[in-house]
Order: sequence, then C-alpha cells, then structure tokens
Amino acid sequence: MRLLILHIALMLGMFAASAENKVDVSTFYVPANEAFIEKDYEAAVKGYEQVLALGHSSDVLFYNLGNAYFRLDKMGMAILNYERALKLNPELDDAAFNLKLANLRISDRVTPATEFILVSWYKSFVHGRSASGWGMWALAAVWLALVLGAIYLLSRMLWLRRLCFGVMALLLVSSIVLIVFARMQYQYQLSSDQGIIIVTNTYVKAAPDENSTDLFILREGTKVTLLETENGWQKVKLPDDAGDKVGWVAGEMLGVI
Amino acid sequence: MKKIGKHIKQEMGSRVIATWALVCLLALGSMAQTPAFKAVVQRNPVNANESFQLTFLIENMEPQSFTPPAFNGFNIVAGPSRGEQVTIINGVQNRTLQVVYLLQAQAPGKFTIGPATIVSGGKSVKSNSISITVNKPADKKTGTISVNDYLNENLFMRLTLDKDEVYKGEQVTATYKLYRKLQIAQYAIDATPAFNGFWAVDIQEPGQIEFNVETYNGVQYDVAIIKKVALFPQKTGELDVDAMGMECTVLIPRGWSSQQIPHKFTSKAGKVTVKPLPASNMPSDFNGLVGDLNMQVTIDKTDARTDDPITLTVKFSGKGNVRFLENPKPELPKDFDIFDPKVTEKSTRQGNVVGGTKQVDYLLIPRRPGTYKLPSFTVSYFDLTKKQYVTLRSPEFSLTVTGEATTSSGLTTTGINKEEVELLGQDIRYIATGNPNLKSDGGFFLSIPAFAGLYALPFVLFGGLVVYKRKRDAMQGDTSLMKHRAAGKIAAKRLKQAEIRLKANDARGFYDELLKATWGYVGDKLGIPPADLSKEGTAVALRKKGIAEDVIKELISLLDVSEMALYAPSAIKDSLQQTYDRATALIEKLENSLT
Repeated sequence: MRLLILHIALMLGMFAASAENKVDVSTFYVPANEAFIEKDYEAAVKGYEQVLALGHSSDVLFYNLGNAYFRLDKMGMAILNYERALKLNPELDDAAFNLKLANLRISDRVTPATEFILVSWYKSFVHGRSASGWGMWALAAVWLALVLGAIYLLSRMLWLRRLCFGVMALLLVSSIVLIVFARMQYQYQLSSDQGIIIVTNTYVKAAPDENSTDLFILREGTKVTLLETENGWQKVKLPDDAGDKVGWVAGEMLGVI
Repeated sequence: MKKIGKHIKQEMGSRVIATWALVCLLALGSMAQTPAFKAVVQRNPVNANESFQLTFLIENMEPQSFTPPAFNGFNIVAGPSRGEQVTIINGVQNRTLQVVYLLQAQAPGKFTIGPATIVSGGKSVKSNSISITVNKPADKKTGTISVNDYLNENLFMRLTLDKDEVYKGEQVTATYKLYRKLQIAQYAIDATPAFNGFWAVDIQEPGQIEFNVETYNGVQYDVAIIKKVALFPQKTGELDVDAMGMECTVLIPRGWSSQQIPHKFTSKAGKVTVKPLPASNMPSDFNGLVGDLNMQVTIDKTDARTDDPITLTVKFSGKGNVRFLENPKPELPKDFDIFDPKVTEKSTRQGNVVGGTKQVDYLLIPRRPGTYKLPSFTVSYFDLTKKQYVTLRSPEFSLTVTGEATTSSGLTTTGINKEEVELLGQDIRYIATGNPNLKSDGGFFLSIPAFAGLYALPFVLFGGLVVYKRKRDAMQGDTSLMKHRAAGKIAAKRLKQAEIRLKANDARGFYDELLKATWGYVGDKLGIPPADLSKEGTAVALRKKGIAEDVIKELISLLDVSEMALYAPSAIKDSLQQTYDRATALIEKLENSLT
C-alpha cells in the first residue's frame, strides 16, 4: 500500500523537490555529519543551519542539529531542536531520549499544570504520531475499505459479503477519525505556540518595554507557551501549575518550536 | 577733660579693683599728692554669712609695715591681697596701695572694725575705724554663701546653643564656656550632661583648656571652652540640654602664699524646640538623615565566573547624622548569595558642622551563569538648605556571570527522581547519518490536494466497480431474469396451443405442447438451460426454492403421465381434458410460489 502511495506521490510531482534535496544533502548536510563525527561541532552546527536556511527541514536534521548543540553545551538550542524534531516526528525515540537528557542539564524546572487524565491521554495519543503517520493510516484504511467493497460487490457468498460490508463500514468511519487526527497533528506541526528560552537567562517584563518592571527570570531551556507578539516582544506564559506567570520577553531570547 | 593715665597691677579680681580705683580717683580729686590712709567697706549694712570686701587705701605713702586691726565678729574669708594703682591726673601722679580683705560677719549686730596702722616715714599712721551693721542672713543657707556669691560672680560657666529651633535630626551645637577672673589651680568636670533625647557628638572635649579674653555683659573675662558638642535631636518637642557642673580649686592669694578654696558650680540648662520634619512628600525610604549627603556606588567587576566574589561598595559622605543611615539593601536575583555587609563608619567635622562617612561593602557570590541586573536602590535625606527631601539613586549595574552553576546552601537541584538520576550518567544517542528526507513545507508527506486525491480515489474506484457490476448483470444474469419474469406468459401461450389440439382431439399434438409448456416454464423459472433439464435436477432446484413437496410430486407425475401418453398412448386412462386441467392448476400454483 505504502509503495502505491509513494508511487502516486512521486507522480504527483515530488520529483523536483527530491532533486533539490540531493544538492543540499551533498553540499551541506553530509559535510555537517562528517564534521560532527570529527567532533568539530561548531562546523556541524553551521552546516545543519545552512540546510535549514535553504528552507528545508526534517526530523533527522533537527535531531542532528540538537546533538551538535548539546555537544557545544548550548542546552537551550539543543532542547529547541529536539523539540522541533519530535514535533515533525513524534516517533523519533532517539530525539525523545536526548531531549530527556538535555532537560536534566538545565537548571529551571517547571512543573507542568495538571490536566484531566483523559485529556492528556488523548493529547499524547494524537501527538504520538506525525500528521504523515495519521494520514498514511487514513489512506490505508480507505484503500482497504475499497478492497473489501470490491469483494462485497463481486462475491456470491452471503457470509463473505456480510463480513466485508461490516469491516468496510468500520474502516470508512475510522479513516474519517484518522483524517481528523492527521489534521489536528498537521495544525499542531504548523502551529508556533511554544518556545524555548535559548539564552542563559532573561528577565520577563511586565510590559513590552525595556524599562518596565522585571517580573521574574527565565533560564535557558525553559519551555514557554507563546501568546501574542508586539514590536518584537513576545508575551509568554509558563506552563506551570499556578498559571499566573505571564510576561513579555524580547523576541530574540527564545526560539519557536 | 582730664587726661587719665592708669596702670593697675592686679592681684585680685579686676572688677573689684576697677570699682575701687574709681573711688580713689574721686577722693584724689581734691587731695592731689596728699598722703591718706583710709578703710572702705564694700557695702554697709551687710548680711550675716555674706562675704564682703574691706579695703585699706594707702595713698601716696610708702608703708614700712602694715598692721591689720582685729576683725572681731568677722571671719577672714580671703586676703589680704595687695594691689597698686597709679593715676596721673593733669600731670599729678597719685599712687594708691590697696590691701583687701574678704570678710564675713559671724552674727547679726553692730560691729566696729578698728583702725589699721601703718608705719610710714618713721611715724605711725592710723586709718579710720568702720562700724558695720550686720543684719540677719538673707536666707537660711549656712556656710560660705556669700563667698559663693563672690566666687560665682568671678568664676562661672555658661551654656550657649547656636539655634533654639531645629528640625528633628538637625544639628544644634551646644558650647559650655568657663568664665573666670580668679585663678584656678585644679578643675574637674563634676556633672557630665547626659543629653537625653539627642545623639551627641563631641566637637571639643575637655582636655586642653585654652583661655582667651572675651567680653561678657561689658566685662572682660578669661574664657575657655570646656565642652563643645553637636546634638542631633531624636525627638520632637521641647528638649532640655543638660547643664554641666565643674569643681574647681580657686587660688586666692593671701600674703605671699595663696589660699585654695574648692568651688562647685553649674551652668544653666538650655532648651531647644524640635520641629518634626515635613510629613508631605516624605519618601518611604527616608530614615532620618537630615543635612547633606553624597552617595557613591562602585562595583569591582561586572564580569565574573560563578563562585567568584564581586564586591559592591556604597560610600556615603555628608553633613548630619550620617551614621543613622540604614544600610541599603540591594535587591539581587536569588542566584546570588549575599553576605552581611562590612560597614566602616567615621565621623567628620568641618568647623562646628558634624558629618560622617559610611562605607558599606557587600560581597556577592554568583551561583548561576547568566546576565543579571543589579537594580538601583534609593536613599533619601532631608536637605536643610533646600528644606526638602532629596532622593539619591544608585546606578544600575549589569552583571555577566559565566561558568557552571554551583549549588550553595540555598540552591539545590530538586525534583530529580530515581530514573532521572540514572539518566544523568548517560550520554546522548548518536546522530542519524541516513537520508534526512528533507522537506520544504509543513512536514506532511504529501501535498494536501494529492492526499485528498488519494483519499477520494477508492470511492471513485468503488463507484466504477458498482457501475461495472450493473452492466455485467444486465448482460448475463438478467436474461434468465427476463425469462423468469416471462415464464408465466410463455406457459400460458403453450397451454393455449395444447387446448387447440385438445379440441381437435389430436392427443399426440396435445401432449407435445403440454410437455413443452411445463418444461419451458420450469426451465425459465429456475434459470436452467433446456439441455440441462432433468426431473431430478428440477426437483432439487425446486426444493431449494422452498416449493412444497406435493407440488413437486404433482409436477413429476404430470411430466411422467405426459411422456408416457406421448410414447404409449394406450396406457393412459386419463382423458385429455383431465390432464389439461392438472397442468393449468400446477403452473398456477408454481407461478404463485416461484417468484
């Protein structure tokens, strides 16, 4: 099935992108990997960032970039890139593992707000697979439904026809659910409502103004929820239990996941 | 106007001498160059227990000896002391010797002091005698009150205050001065003022006393500052400035030696009105400094590694009660450890104005890397010249801390569970070196239209499949269906033919048509081609269709009878009409049950 999808996808004009892809891979990505292997992490970071600057991204690219930053002891950037990798591909276990390690190296720990357990289950279920993953499952379901539909139409055996019809209906319903999941995950992947502090520390202000009151300090690697922006200032919220830690941070202090 | 040349050799209080010089001058007016010997009393009458002066004036004589009278009824408090005065009036020189006694009457009454005798030029000269009326003592004090009066007049202390109305916290200078005309052998401070309600700073301590000539109430005294103190009132209202007491040993010359008299005296107390500071616009951080203040804040470095101490120094200098300043409390992020500051204080003085310096050194130890702000703090004081509050603001410092975060007593990493402790020891997983699958959009594996197409495609295909099946059914299956539907009509037509043969009494033709009608009907209904028709197969097919067994038996029997009549007509007993009726009834039954 996947093969079929791949073929159709290719036919639908993915050739161009893949050709361009090859150039970036050989000019920047592969040398960056080699630099990493040679422990020249600065060069590795540079290489990976260049690929990103060309407008490409991938889970693996972010993961490798995160590793390079980790080696350079820039935990904020490492965490940011692991998070980006996991956002693209929640099933990238290595990124999840390294993120856990990186989060242990930062000094501020925010206790996340407690959520109703079913909600968090549901969220982690939906976010547990990429939009592509959900999409593929949805396609698989609908194509399997087609096969079963054909059997239903053409078979003369009553029990087989009944079975096929039932399963087909089930598959069609689940494919719709899967499309909803894919869409949610897709929105989530496109969303930019979370960020990571990438400087050692920054003061959170009461207003989007350098001279306003300092409210509290945020440290490198802390994950914040992004609210609104104004004049290069970003309103952020700490996802902690109290939920009252809200303030403004200069935009360059954080990276959007 | 007479020209007076005056030379006074003074051994006792100059005021006394001056008084007597005047008396002498009046006397000399008429008796120029005339020798005289007189006794003069300071006042008459006197009170008992009160000391007074008795002076013998020897004018223009050179006494070889002096014999005092007996002072019956009097005590000699002091004396005799000698003095000499030369006056030149209109070129005539008068020379007066004085012998002065300080006496005290023992009891009230009338007393006569006899004449004193001098020997001058070989002959003895007597002075006049004086009778003195002694009244009862003016008050009940005993002892040496009158001596005290004398001493108090010639040796006393004054307190002066430079201001009598000040703000709370404003300096008022109290000066204690000693005024004297007498000689002092020793002195000691008897009562040290406590200065309750004030914070006192000595400007000049007793120690070296330096006498200067100063005029007070038109009289010259030797004056020395005993104590000078800056007072900072701590309360509002009327405050008393305590008096100061001294104990002196006064030297009174007597003959060639001198008599020592102890004398205690105190100054008067002073009063200051202390106004409260204006309540309006009082800054919240004001803590009582009145005067003038400078603040200087320095930091030894703004870049440091963790655990590398940074010193923040706040220097205050100014006029007023600088020591009363509270140490400022810089608000530091909790990523710094701050220790109790080291405080160095010093009092300073500019003339009579007391001030001070205060240096506060804070030791800051950064514990976590980062860029921090050392926020400014404020210190306020009341400016006496501007008569308003002034707030000083320290500069803000930006500190950059590098290095590893270190833990101190206050900062420990919390919230690590067992699993995380195990993780801490591990290294990150290695990079992936395979194909990165770079994509330039939101990361979905297909474009949205492609996905929609792929999703919709099965539905289209399914629709196609349905159409295809319809067509195939129409081509194959539906011929038998049509036959099935038409079976009744065809059977009816054939039975009509059979009826025609029946009427023509054509037995052979009749049975032939009947068989054709029955077989054709069954074949069409069951969708079995004529070649495959058999009685057994038909029976099975009919049973499957749920046709009743007696109907099937009737069909088989009808078929048997018709076939037999066709090939062996003699064996048939049934009439043609009977068979025809059976056939129509059967087809009718089948038509009803076979749908």
